[in-house]
Amino acid sequence: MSETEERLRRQVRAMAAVNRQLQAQLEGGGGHGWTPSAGQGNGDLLANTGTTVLGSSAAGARRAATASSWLEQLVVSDEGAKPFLVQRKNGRTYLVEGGYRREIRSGLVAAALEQKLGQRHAVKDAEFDRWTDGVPVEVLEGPQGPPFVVVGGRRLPLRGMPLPYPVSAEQLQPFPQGSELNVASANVSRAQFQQAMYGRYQVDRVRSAVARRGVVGTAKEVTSRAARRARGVGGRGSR
Amino acid sequence: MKTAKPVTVIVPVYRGLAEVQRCLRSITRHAASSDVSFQVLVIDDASPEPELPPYLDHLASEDHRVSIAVVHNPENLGFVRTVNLGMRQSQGDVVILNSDTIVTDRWLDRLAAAAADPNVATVTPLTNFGSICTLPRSIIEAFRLDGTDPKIDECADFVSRQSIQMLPEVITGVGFCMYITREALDLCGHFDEDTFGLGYGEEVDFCLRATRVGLRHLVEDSTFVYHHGAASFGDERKARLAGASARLHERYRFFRATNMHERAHDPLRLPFTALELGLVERRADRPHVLHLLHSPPEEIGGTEKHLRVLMESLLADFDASVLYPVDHGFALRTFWNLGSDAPFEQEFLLPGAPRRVTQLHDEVAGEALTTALDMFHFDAVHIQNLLGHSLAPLEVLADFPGRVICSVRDLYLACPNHSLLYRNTQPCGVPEDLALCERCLAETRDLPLSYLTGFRATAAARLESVDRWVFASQSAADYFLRVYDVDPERIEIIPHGAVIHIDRPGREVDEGLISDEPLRLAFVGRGWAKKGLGVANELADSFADSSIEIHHFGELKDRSSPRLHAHGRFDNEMLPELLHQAGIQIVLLPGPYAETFGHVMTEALIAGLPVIGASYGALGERIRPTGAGWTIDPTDVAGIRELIENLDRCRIEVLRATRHAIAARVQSIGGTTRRYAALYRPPSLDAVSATTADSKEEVPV
Repeated sequence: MSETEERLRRQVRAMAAVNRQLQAQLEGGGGHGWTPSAGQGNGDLLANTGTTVLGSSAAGARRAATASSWLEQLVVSDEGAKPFLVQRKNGRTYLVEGGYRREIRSGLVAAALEQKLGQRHAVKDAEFDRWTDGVPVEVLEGPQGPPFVVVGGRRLPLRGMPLPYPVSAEQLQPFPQGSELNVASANVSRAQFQQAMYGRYQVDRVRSAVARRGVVGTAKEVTSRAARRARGVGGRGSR
Repeated sequence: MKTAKPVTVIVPVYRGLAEVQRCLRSITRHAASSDVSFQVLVIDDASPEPELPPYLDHLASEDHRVSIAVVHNPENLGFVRTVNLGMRQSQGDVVILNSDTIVTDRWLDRLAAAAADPNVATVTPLTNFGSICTLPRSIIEAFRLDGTDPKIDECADFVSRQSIQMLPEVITGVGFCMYITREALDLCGHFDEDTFGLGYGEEVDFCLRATRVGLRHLVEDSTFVYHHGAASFGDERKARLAGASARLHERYRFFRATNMHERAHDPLRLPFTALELGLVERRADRPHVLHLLHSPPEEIGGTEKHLRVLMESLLADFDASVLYPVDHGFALRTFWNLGSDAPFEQEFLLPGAPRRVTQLHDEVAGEALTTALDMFHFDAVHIQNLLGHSLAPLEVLADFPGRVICSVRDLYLACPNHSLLYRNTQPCGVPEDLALCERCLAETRDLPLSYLTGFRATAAARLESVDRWVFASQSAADYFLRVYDVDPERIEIIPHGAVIHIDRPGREVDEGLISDEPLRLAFVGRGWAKKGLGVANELADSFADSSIEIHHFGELKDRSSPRLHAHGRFDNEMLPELLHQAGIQIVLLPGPYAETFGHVMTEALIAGLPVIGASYGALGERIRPTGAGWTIDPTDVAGIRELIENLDRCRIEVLRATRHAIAARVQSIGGTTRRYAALYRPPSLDAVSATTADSKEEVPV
């Protein structure tokens, strides 16, 4: 085999090894066996910029390619209509901004965004179809600072979000697979929670009113309040 | 070279006599082997060490293969001004070389050759201490470059041999040893001594100015120059670095972002990976076998387990690698003996597209195998399973010069419905009447008959690629030969070794259990129709009013009878003990599927239990000569029931078969290795006896 062929053979091996390493980073794992070490020296001028070398942080590199493609689409102006949340009949929640509908797959993130953007509105299919599919609202993580979501072209830092710590395949071995724990489905929407609490609160109020005024007095009060609400004058029902 | 004028190697010297001596000696030592015309200009920057100036003068007065000129600055000018002084005295290309470096064989030739490329401003070699040009940690450790006795020449030789010579482009060269072309000097001038006069940052500033005029900066990735590092300014280094960084940021606002991008995408990642791979090179004199598998070798399936043990057993004589499909293409995993206790496992992801393997011919699979064969030398290829690879490997291997072995573990090559069950219920036996196949394939696989005929024709045309066909049983070979015309000389029958340990204590006839307790049969394996769950359900229901019990060990895929005693999933290694704990006397394998071997039967024999299995396929082939059980027609449930009732009444027959089961010989996988070794060994090595041996090749249990 000629020297050139041997060199090309080495090059293909190196490319295949780098492919595997990049794939392992994207998958959040450590790959199998050998791991190439970064070549940069410590403390040199060029390393003094506070950068993170790709590969030194598995969490930072995880799904990096996917996130890059999202970020290109997320650079939008902060101006225009305020983003809002909608919910379809099938229960899926979307953030709508700039004519795009962005699915929020995590119940935890949806609940957190409700605090900022208000409750989710139910939407019919015809209304939903007016918006174009956008990139999903996913949790991103930079080299520094807390994880964040991008809404309205801004980074909204997330606090209290549990994030995984990468472990190797070998470390996984002692733990057999169990049943799935779906964090998203376990979470209850903040709005649903408030509604539930509000309903119970109303029942408690009626009970105490009955105790104080009797059934007839309470019925009159409730009827007159409902009439006011129907006329759109004051009260909780007015918009 | 771009210029006929000699290259000037500028060595500014301030302090550190020993390091300066080593540096200059290395230059003179390697000058002999250099074809580049060069001169050395040593500039003593008013060194405070009294021994230094006389040493330099003495050196200059000696005869060397290279001209050495020494200049003494009357007062200390600092590194940058001193370098500029040298540059002004040069006429051709220059090399700025720190006095704490040690150059290696043909260092200047390689740098000059790289600099001869068009539009090059600077060229920097690899080193052990030099920013982005610093070698990976593993190589620094391998050659003890951090220690007191660094293996400098050995490292240089290694780097030059293993380099892929990519000459990667970087945003700036590194100052410990930087080759600068005359073109760059003419266009950009010298270092900016007013701004960076104290040292650090001057070479970055120069490089960024050169970039602005369209010149490039290369790393010569086959050259190593040792750099002691940080000797020049001692403790002041940190402060000077910070100052230089701030000045660079002020002048080049884009630089930090560009530098960050370069660090993230690391232009040297590929050359460094190639070097790291060079540290773990396979011994070329050891035979190397490539296995084609349908899933990662660590999966739990029988084939994967078998391959793993086979590779381990052969590791003394053979290196192995495994090619298998993954979601994003194909992966190649090494399994080499590099002399340490454990085999060296390393994974490569071969270039390719996401897996879309069709059963007939998949281009990506073919290209992956071709790439694997290009990457390493292989003496033999062993196809363990073609699932996920399509028939493409058979075409690629037509030109493979080594031996090709194909293990036929299922009859996928005979029919896409490789269970050979007509409409998934009746054993078809590979019918000659293709009208049956047409009906069956349409129902079971949604495929037309033309697919089957095309598949078989393609496979038949490529059969010659395989030198040896390996079957675990004669019956599997017979089924295969009904479809393909293969020379019997090229067929090997190698029964599978047990995937669990065979040398277990306590296997003896328990007459009390067999004679006095209710008859208990265990249906072992995945609970679905192919394995005979329907028959087991019927039997369990029909024995509801008798003392006979039907147990099931394994995962239930379909509905089971409430009369079936289900034990759930199990670890194969524990199966013999589980069967004994449940008081099982007979293992029932009622599936209509024609087994090509029957690992469960092996495990039953290891447990010392007789087996009831189909009269055809590998089970019948194995039960009849051993007498370790009884054969049945799986479709005749009434006949099976009658057999079991007779056995219940005639326990002495159960006792007889149990004794035969205990006496039956079972092979470990290791026991088959010598036969595989003979298949893998190149003809030239046939005469050489294999060291592979297994004292437990065949064990009566």
